This record gives sequence, C-alpha cells and structure tokens, in this order.
Amino acid sequence: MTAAVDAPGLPAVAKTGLFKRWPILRRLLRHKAFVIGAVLFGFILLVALFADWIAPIDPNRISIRNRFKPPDLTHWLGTDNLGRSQLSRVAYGARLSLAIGFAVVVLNAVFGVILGAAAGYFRRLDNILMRITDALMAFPAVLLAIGIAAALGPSSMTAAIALSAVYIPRTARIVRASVLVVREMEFVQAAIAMGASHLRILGKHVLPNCLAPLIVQLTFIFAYAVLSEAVLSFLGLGAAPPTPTWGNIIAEGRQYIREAAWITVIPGMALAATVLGLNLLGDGLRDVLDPRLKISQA
Amino acid sequence: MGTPNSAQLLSVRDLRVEFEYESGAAPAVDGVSFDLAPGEVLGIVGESGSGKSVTALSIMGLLPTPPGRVAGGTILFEGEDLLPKSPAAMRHIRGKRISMIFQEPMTSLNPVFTIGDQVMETVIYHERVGRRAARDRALEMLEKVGIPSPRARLEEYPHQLSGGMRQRIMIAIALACTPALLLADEPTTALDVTIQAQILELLRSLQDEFKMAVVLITHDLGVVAEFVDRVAVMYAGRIVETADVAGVFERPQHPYTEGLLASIPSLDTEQTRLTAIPGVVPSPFELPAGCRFAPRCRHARPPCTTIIPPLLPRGAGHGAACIRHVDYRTEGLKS
Amino acid sequence: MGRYVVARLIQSIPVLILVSVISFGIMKLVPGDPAVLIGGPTATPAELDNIRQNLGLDQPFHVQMGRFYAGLARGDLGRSLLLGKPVLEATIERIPVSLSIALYSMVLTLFLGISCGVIAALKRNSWADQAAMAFALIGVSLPNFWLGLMLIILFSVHLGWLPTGGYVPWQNDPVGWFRTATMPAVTLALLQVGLLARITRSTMLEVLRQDYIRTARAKGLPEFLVIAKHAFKNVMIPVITVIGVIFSVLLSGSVVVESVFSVPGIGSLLGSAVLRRDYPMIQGGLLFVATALLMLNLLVDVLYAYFDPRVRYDSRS
Repeated sequence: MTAAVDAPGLPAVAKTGLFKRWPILRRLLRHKAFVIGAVLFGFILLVALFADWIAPIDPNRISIRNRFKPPDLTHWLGTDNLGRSQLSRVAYGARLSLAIGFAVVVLNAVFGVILGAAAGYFRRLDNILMRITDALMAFPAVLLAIGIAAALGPSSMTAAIALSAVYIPRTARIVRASVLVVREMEFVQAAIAMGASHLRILGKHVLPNCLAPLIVQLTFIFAYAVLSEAVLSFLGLGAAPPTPTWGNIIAEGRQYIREAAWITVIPGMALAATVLGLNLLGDGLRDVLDPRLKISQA
Repeated sequence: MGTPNSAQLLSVRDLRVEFEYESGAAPAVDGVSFDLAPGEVLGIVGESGSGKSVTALSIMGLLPTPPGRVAGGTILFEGEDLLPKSPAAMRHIRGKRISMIFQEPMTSLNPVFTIGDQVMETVIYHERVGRRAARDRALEMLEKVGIPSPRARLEEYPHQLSGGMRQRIMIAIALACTPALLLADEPTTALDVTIQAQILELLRSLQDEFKMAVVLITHDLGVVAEFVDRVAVMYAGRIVETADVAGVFERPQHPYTEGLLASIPSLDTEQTRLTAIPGVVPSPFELPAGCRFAPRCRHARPPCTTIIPPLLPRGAGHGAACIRHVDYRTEGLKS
Repeated sequence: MGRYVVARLIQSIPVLILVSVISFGIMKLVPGDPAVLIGGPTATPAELDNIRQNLGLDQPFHVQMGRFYAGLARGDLGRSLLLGKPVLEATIERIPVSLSIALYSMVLTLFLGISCGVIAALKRNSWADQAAMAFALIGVSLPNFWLGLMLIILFSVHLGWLPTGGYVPWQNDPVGWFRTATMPAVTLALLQVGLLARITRSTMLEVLRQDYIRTARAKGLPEFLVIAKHAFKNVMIPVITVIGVIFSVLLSGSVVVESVFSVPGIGSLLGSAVLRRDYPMIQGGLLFVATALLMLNLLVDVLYAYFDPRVRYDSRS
C-alpha cells in the first residue's frame, strides 16, 4: 500500500513527507467528525488569536447612542445595553475562554501525569491518592469548582485554579489506569529486571505508552473547562465585568432577553461551537489513537 | 449429487456462503452438499476456518448478516427449503425442530436470568404451555441431562454453575422441544478432557433416547470416532472427503484426512495443534486456485494447483476430492 | 444482599470523612480574612470581631475543626449568615423543590436517552442513528444556562406558552407545577439525554454481539423478545451505573438552571450563597450535596446488584 494510491488528491509533499512521518494524521483527516471539529475549533481559535485585528473596536468602549443595535452591516453582531460592540466582546471573550481552557489543560497535563504516574507506579501511594480522588470526585464537578472559586474570590485566575482542581483527579485516574496496564507489559518488566531507574522507566517506557488516552482526555478536559468557565463567569465567579467573558456577557444580556435577545444568543453560540468542536476533536482522536475504546463505541 | 433428496431429514445442496467486506467478498462455504437421514449422526470435521460453523449457522438461519450472506444452494429440511423461508417461519423451526448448541458454555447462557427461566422459555414459546407445565418440563430436562438437585438449580444463575454443567443446561434447552435435528458446534472444545467425555456420552445417550439426527461439528477426529455414523471432512469451505466412520479411519482417501488422523491428540496430553500438517487454512480472501489443500499437501503435483477436484467416489458411500488416485489425463477432469 | 449493602455502607465511610475534610478545607482557601470579605469594606472592627466570633474564626485551627465535627455529629452544619437559620434546615426546606424537578428531569432523561440509544443501536448507521448521535454530541456541548435562556426566548417570550420562571409546588397546583417545572427539567435533561443515548447505544451493540443473544435466537424467540428481554436487562447494568453520574450532573446543573428559572431550590440557594459569600451555607451545602450523592451511589449499587445476579451472590464484594 502506498500513499499515492490511498490519497490521490493530495499534493506530492503531503504524500511523501507529512503522512509518512505521521500516518495517524491521514487517518484523522479521514475521520469526518474530527475534520468538522477541527474546522469549528480552528475558527474560534483564529478569532481568539486575532481578536484585536478582527474586532478593532475596544470591547469596553461605551457608546450610548448605539445601544441595543441588532446585528447589521455596521455592527456585525449588534451592540449591548451600553452600546459596546458585541463582535469585540465575543472575540475577546473567546480569547479569555480559550486561555483559561488551555491553562486548565496544561495544569491537568502536568499534575495529572505526576499524580497518576505516581499512583500507578508506586503502589504504596496508590491507595491514599485514589481515596483522595474518590473524595474529590464525590462532589459534582461544577459544584466543587463553584465552591473553590467562591472561596478564592472571583477572577479568571481562580476560575482556572478551581477547574484544574476539579479535573486533575479525573485525569490522574486515567493516567493511573494506563500506567497500571503498561507497567505489566513485558518490555517494561524487562527494563525493571535490567535494573533501569524508576524515573527512566517511567519517562522512557511507561509514559509514552499512556500518551494516547491522555491526549484524548485532555481534549475533553479542554471542552469541559471552557464550558465550566462560562458557568462560573455566568454566576459571577469568573473574570469580573467589564472584562468580557462569554459567561458574563450572557449574564448581563439576560436582563434584556425580551428586547435584545442577540446579546444572549450570540456568545452562547460561540461557546457551543467551541465545546462541540473540542468534543468532535476528542471523539476523532479517541477513535484513531485509542482503538481499544473504539471497539466499544463501534 | 445433483438434486436434493427430500426423503432425507436434511439435504444440503451446493450451499455457498459469502462474507462481504469492504475489501471484497470471501467465500466461507463453497458448494457444500450432504444428506442426513432421520436419527443419523454426521460429524463435520475440519480445522477452524474451514466453514463448519458457517454451514451450521446457515441451516439455523442465524448467519450474521451482514457481512454473511447465503449466495446459493438449497437446504431441504423435512422436505422444505429453509433458505427462502420468512424470519417468522424460521423462528418456528429454530428451537423446536432444529436446535443448536455452541462451543462456549460459559457465555452462551444469559447471565441475568435463572436457569429455569432460560429452559422454560423455549417450551413456553414453542408449545404455548403455561408456566407450571413449562417448569415441569424444565425439571424433567435437567434430570435427563444429569444435573444434580435439579429443583434447586432452576432458581440459580449461570455463573453459579461450572462449564460442564452449563453445557448440560444448553443441551437441556436445545432438547426441551424434542427437535428432529441437533446441530452441535464444537460442544466439548471449551471443556476439560474428562468433562468432554461425559458430555459426549450424554449426547450419545440422548440421541438414542430422542431418536434425533445430530450434526456434530468438531476439529477433533477423536471425538468423531466415539459418536458419529458418518463423517464429512471440510477444508477451506469445501467437503474434501465423506465416508462412514470406519472408512475414514481405516481407508482415508484425502491427504488432509490423513493429516487429521495423524494429529489426533492422545488422551493424556492437551495437544490441539495439527502437528502432522504444516501451514494453516488459507484465508477465504486468498484462496489458492485448484485444490485448496495443495499448498500444504505433500502429495501435490502440478495439476493440483489448476484443477478443482470434485468429490470422486472411492468405494461404497465413500468420496474424496483428490486427484491423487486417478489419472487426471485419461479421466478428463476440467478445472 | 443485606451483607452487600452493609459492605458498601462501610466502604463509603472513609470517602465521607474525606468529603467532610474537603468541605471544611474549602473555607480555609479564602485568602486574607474571611470576616472582612463577609462584612464588606464598611464593616466596623466591632462588627468584624462579631463575625469572627460567630464563625469561630478567632479560635485556633484545631478548635475550629473540633467544632466543625462536633456540629456534624449533632447534625449541625452551621448557620447561614444570609438567612439567619441553620444551613441544614434551609437546605431541607428546599429539597422537595429540587427533588421534584430532578426526578422529572431524570424520567425525561431515562426515557429519551434509553429509547434513542436502543433505536440507534438497532438501526445502526441509519439516518435515525446518525441523528441520535449528532443530537447526543450537540447536547453535551450546549451550556445549560444558555440553553435555558434559549427556551425562555422561545416558549415564554415568543410563544408565550410557559412562564419565564418561578415555581408552583405540586401539591398546590399540579398544572402550575408542570408549567413551571417543565423548562428547568427539559434544560437539565437535554444535556444528559445524549450522554445516556451514547452509552445505551454502545452497550446495546456490545450486548448484541454476545453468545447468549445467539442462544436466544437459536431458541427461535421472536426478535422483540430477544431485544426486550435478553438484551435489555443486560444493557441496563452499565446504564444503571451512569444514573449516579447523571444525578450528579443534574445536581450541579441545578445551581445554574434554578438561577436561570428563578426556582427556589437547593441549587439557587447555593448560587446566591456563593454570590453573597455566605461561607457556612456554601460549606454546609457542598457537604450536604456530596453526602446525598454518595448515598445515591449506594442506592445505585444496590439497584445494580438487583440487575446483575453475579454481583448479588458474590459476597466478597
């Protein structure tokens, strides 16, 4: 089987270089859900990255003359109760949402891996760590995040910390489960028998083999984090107004739902598109990277 | 072979079953024909992948479709062709006139229903009797298949029973409506050697008592010798030799049968590999032209790779699909 | 069976203890002086001292912890600063409201989720399957507070069929209850239906591959019995284990959804406690909810044992 037969429409470079190095890439690009997710999420990501270019108007510039303007050619997404540009507010909201989501993902990757690997690899730690995660997971995720954010006081930083605290136990569990499987495999047992150090075994043999479920999990965590951050800022526990977040734009727009529904509708659509995109990406990654899971989904 | 024989209980003619995948269609059963008289016991023997189970599932109308599909042939049972029958008509035959037991007693019973429920169910559905009558029948059946303290077992769940006991339950379910034909697909393969002998013994005595015909599917010629009247040896979707038991054991005419005979495991070792025949059954996707056994056959000659050997008579009631014993030039065989 | 329940009760004790530690610890996360945050910038030093004394903040850590557990032992979760009454009392008062909506939502979720999942599995790869799975994915991606607002825009603002919010107790006026409870219940359910449908679908597909399904067909049973009896009870085993998860998401969702629809339940109680920094209420409410969930999970395990005889008879677990 050659790449040329399988992917006729693609440029020669892609056939020989990119796909050869990452055959997974080709399988991902054939996964319909993954591609839709990539387009959705990619769009939001571009908006977030180029927010100041796409929406040059200051999201906090108040213009009382232009209050409650419905979406039209001058105000693409309309204006809010203070005449602020919805396009600017939603675009900057995307920036903050994705930034917080990404921070949660990074914190999850670092601490989830450390705790999960420690629990899975060092049996003595396992019981204690798992009971603690049990207890943390006994609280409904969003509720615990609300509690922590309420205690720490509202800000985007606390939102990121609260959400990380909630999801790290879940990530750690997944890493632990993979480590438990991988550490029993023959090549790891052989490395142990040959007297390799714990760190070396973990870093060189165990962790690379846990990467697939971890990447899948982190994609879903990204989705949950964006969604939950919106809940926190909707409740007034995220970044404080006037800093625009999708959650607080919706919370403010709620009062004007009869006369200016677009204030509420549009940020919610952006939020839904982001989360849906990430979920689709996660589904695609899971199907392609983690075939064991695919069987049960088939 | 020609036309199906409606005097027989079961008459299979030129059965062809294909499995269709994206990569193409694979013939799993390719022109299989055999007859079975009432009360007769036929053993279908071959390695896994030879099409034995697919043949049985086709008779039952339980072929997983898709990907499986009956591509041609007839299956005459009690004088009627089963293949064109509607699903509803087949349901009245399955479990009532034709029953089947499977290789995996550990997973073939539903874990969430009691033994009693699972035995009674067939009787209630097929014979339209009340629960009390069905329960009496279930009890009788459990006694017949040699389950100790059957009354208590009725209330138990499958996981509380051993593999051998579960296979006995499966037999009880299969025979509850006194079928005319029992298809036993590797019924002892998953069991310990000592249990295997008990189950075979039980099947033989029940066959005698119920006067039913049995198709025993197995990869183990040793099992066949104990129990069956006639043997059909299958290889890669085709019957390569058919004869009565004595014929197969004393005068095997096909090199594959010879190989199988040479590899009968002795009772004290758990040898299951066919050590006498090198290689494996070809995948239905990559079937060799000509005789499908030729690549593994030590008697193979050049024509073997081009000529598809028909089942040639080798004595009374004995046939073998091998050109080794004939002069293919003078007999004018065509591929 | 009895032994199994007792064993599960004993197993949940260490988790309960840790849950209480976390609930207690959350208060300790408050940066700076909680009294200042509660009292606000205008509070006089005397008022602050009063708050500290009331909450026991002037006591050393171990005394605070001792008080907390002594209170727990008496069933005392502290006093709400806002409502001026015991946290437990305030919470229990609102149980019927939240519970009735949660159960309504649960019924919707189970009915829609299981039937969509079963249909999707049986009509695999058909348009119905794809629609159900697309719906599932969109469902888990929608923010519930936003979905609630969209329902208000549609059914209250545009169509005028249902009130925008509020709550009428069932025993006062069943029709009024339906009119007020339906949108919150649907909002909470829609997010979960997809999740449940996906799980049901994949479980059903898995079950249909099992040998005992082939046995049921070999018995000549009609397809309806094969699915509705032999497959369904096995499908329910994993589905039941998710009921705990579903309820947990329902509970946390209720904080936002009850606020959106102005439903005076436990969720909106916690929501307003969070905004007004009613720390004892937050602490007690979290502990209450987590304990309730643990108990629910226990119930789920018992149900699980009912559906799966393998668990029921295995006295070791």
